[in-house]
Parts: sequence; C-alpha cells; structure tokens
Amino acid sequence: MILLMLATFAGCSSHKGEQPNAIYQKYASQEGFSVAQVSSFEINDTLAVDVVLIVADNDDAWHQLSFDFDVRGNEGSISWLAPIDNPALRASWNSEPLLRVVASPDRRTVALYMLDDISQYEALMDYQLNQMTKLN
Amino acid sequence: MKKTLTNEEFDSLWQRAEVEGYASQLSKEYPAWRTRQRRITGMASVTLVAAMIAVAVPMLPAGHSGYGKVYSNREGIAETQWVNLASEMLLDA
Repeated sequence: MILLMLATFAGCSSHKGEQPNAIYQKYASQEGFSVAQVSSFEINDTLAVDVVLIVADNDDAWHQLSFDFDVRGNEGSISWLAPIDNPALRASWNSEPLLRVVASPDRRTVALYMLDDISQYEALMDYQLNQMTKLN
Repeated sequence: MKKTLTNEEFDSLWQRAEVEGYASQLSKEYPAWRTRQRRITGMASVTLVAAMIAVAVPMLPAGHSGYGKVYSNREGIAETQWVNLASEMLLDA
C-alpha cells in the first residue's frame, strides 16, 4: 500500500508547467486579457494536465481572441483538438501532444488543455462526464 | 464452571486455538473475550493505517488538492477561481 501511495503521489507531483507557456505569455502581455496557467490540473488520481485560460476583458479583446482562434459567430461553446503550436487549427488524434481547446463566447473565454497522449485525452473526457453527472 | 482467564492467558489460549482449529468453539465458550479480541485486531488495523498516512502526508507535493501552481497576469483573482473556471469550461464544451 505504501508503494501504491508513493506511485500515486509521484504521478501527481510531476509538474510539467514549471514556466508559463508561449500562449500564456502571448496574451498575458497584451491589454484587455486576463490570463492564467493552471499547472497540474488534476483530472483523476494519477493524471494532471496544464491548462491555459484566456479571458477577454471586453468586446474588442474578444473580437481579437475569436479571430485568433477562428471562432465564428456566437453559436455557443465549441471545442476542438489542435496542434500545440497552432491552437486555431482543428486536428484529429495522432501520436503528437495536442491541445483540447474550448471556446465560450458567453464567458469570452478560451481554455487550452495540454494533452501529452491519448490516456490524458480519455481521462479528460471521463472527468468532463463525471462533472456533468454530478450536476444532474 | 468456567475458569476466569487473565488477558495473557486468553491471548495464549486463543493463539493455540486458532492453530489447532478450535477457535470457534472457544469463542462460544468465551463470547465476551471474542468480542474483545476482534476489537483489539480492529484497533491494530486502524493504528497501522494511521501510521502509514502519517508517513505519507509529508511526501505530499504543495498544492496537491486539485492543482499545482497558478500563474496569472491579474492580481486579486483567487487561484481557486481560475481552477474552477478550468473545470467549468469543460462543462461548457
């Protein structure tokens, strides 16, 4: 059991986000954006991902953000997978690390979840499902 | 008439009974002692788990409760608000 505890804590303590990433830095330095990077956001007992949140403080900033991420209209929240170096591009799963991007016009917010592999993607979907189940 | 056993005598008798297979008969003869034996065994388990947790807790990384560290370009926004937003955005997706 001690070994199990050690393995669990080791998994949770592997903080990837020791420094803010490039997307965070791009928007954090601009007027009109509130930006945060949550490192090691735990999605289950053993897996954690880094999350960047970009909130547009006003309509002009949201206009820029929606343009940057190719979010069209106000049709509600959308999500997609994207390459790490091009978060506006819609992608499908491959062996490379990817971003899961969620854009919410209502919140004027874009969230980027950094996924190293398919297990993190599946865990993130499970987390989402569990959170929805709790609400119902 | 049953003999009144001391704790040590009963423990010794119980161990021998378990080895030799007459523990169930002994528990009928001395039901109160059997209850006590169970309580002692239970307390030993609780003590073991508590000791393991006491050893493990100092190994917990900082911010283990849901996230590691939060960077932000805005002061005055609590870390937990950002963490909650990260969770809520998934519900919007």
